[in-house]
Amino acid sequence: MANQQKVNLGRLLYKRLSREMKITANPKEKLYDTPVFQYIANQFREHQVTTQKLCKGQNEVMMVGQTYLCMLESLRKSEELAQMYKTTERSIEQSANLVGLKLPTVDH
Amino acid sequence: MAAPMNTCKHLIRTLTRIRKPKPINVCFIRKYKTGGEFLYSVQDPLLNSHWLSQNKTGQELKKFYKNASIVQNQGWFEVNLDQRKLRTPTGNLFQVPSEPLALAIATEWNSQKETIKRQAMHLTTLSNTVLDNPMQRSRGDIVRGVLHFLETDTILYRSTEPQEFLELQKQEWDPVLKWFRSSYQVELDSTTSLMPPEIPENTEEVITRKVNSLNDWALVGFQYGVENLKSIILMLAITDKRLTVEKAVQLARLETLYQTKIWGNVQWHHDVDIYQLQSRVAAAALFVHWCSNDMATTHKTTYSNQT
Repeated sequence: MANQQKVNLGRLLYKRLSREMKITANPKEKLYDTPVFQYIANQFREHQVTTQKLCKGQNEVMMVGQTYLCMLESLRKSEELAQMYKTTERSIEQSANLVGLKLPTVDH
Repeated sequence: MAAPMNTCKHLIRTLTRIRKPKPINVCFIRKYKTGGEFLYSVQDPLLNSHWLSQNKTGQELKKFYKNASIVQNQGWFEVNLDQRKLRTPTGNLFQVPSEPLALAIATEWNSQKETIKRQAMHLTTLSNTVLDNPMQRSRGDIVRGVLHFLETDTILYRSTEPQEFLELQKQEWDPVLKWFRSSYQVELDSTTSLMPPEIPENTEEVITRKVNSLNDWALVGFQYGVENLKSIILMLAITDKRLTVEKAVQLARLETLYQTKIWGNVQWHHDVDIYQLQSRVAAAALFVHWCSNDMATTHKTTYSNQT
């Protein structure tokens, strides 16, 4: 039961990681060929049976995967929000005009 | 009452008459603004660090390469942008001690669209900091900077009202504090006053040893994480894989979370803050994990196969 849950979590992580990588990756290349994706796939393959190889903690490898996923997702979302709420900053002249003032003239 | 005012006015008038009238330098203000480098306030999450994506002339840097890949060179990993080697801002060769870190950095560079946005490349920035050491910090300086947060740790400071918030703090922060005390065998109490809590000597020693046990690379990442979370305990919980980054960021922002539940959430301020904090802390956590000795290669001549 607990094992099945772990497997499901693993599958979910894999799916979400692939989705993030697809979004950020180069559209010309196939995702499968990139060395990053191959590294991720290898990690999943290696730790398929158990993640406790080489005296690692119980959830360590999963946590690293989740942390990386968190980083990619947060970067994407903060970029989306920045685009959504983007404004151009007013020039000094326009800001002064807002309150009915003019900029002082320069004396050479 | 009037007399001092009159003398004051008189004084100012005489002073201004002596000096030549200065022309008001509007050009200077304009240059400072379009030069653009340090104008934006660091507090505003949206305009934050816009200057990092501008080069010296103030124009945005276009993506000048098609593909970023990694190569291995004498036990270190380098990043190639289209055949050219990536370099740090001071011109040193960009080398990292671990393969997944190099892959993640190459991904950062690959995910740039038309312009380079350095503020999104946290792992690259951290690596540059270690390689260049721009502020000439020694290990002692960094460790001291981290330990400074021990007495000003976020989860140690409880506010006594409103009652609901006090309960929330107990509910969320106490389990982490309990784990910290038991796993490191230290004593550390929370406080409800403005004064920092009394840190027993044993606690300080244990934490110093723990922070000192990180190598140079992991130390920089750890310090960055502590600085962003404003808490050593939360960062230790992340590096010990006890908390996820999302949960730790939530705990670090508990008060803001409580207030937004009552007064409403402003997407372009609060959510942006959450995502930026999460990306920074996640980058710091990954940096610490990937640069710690069991993942990184330490020999320069041979590459021992890990994991």
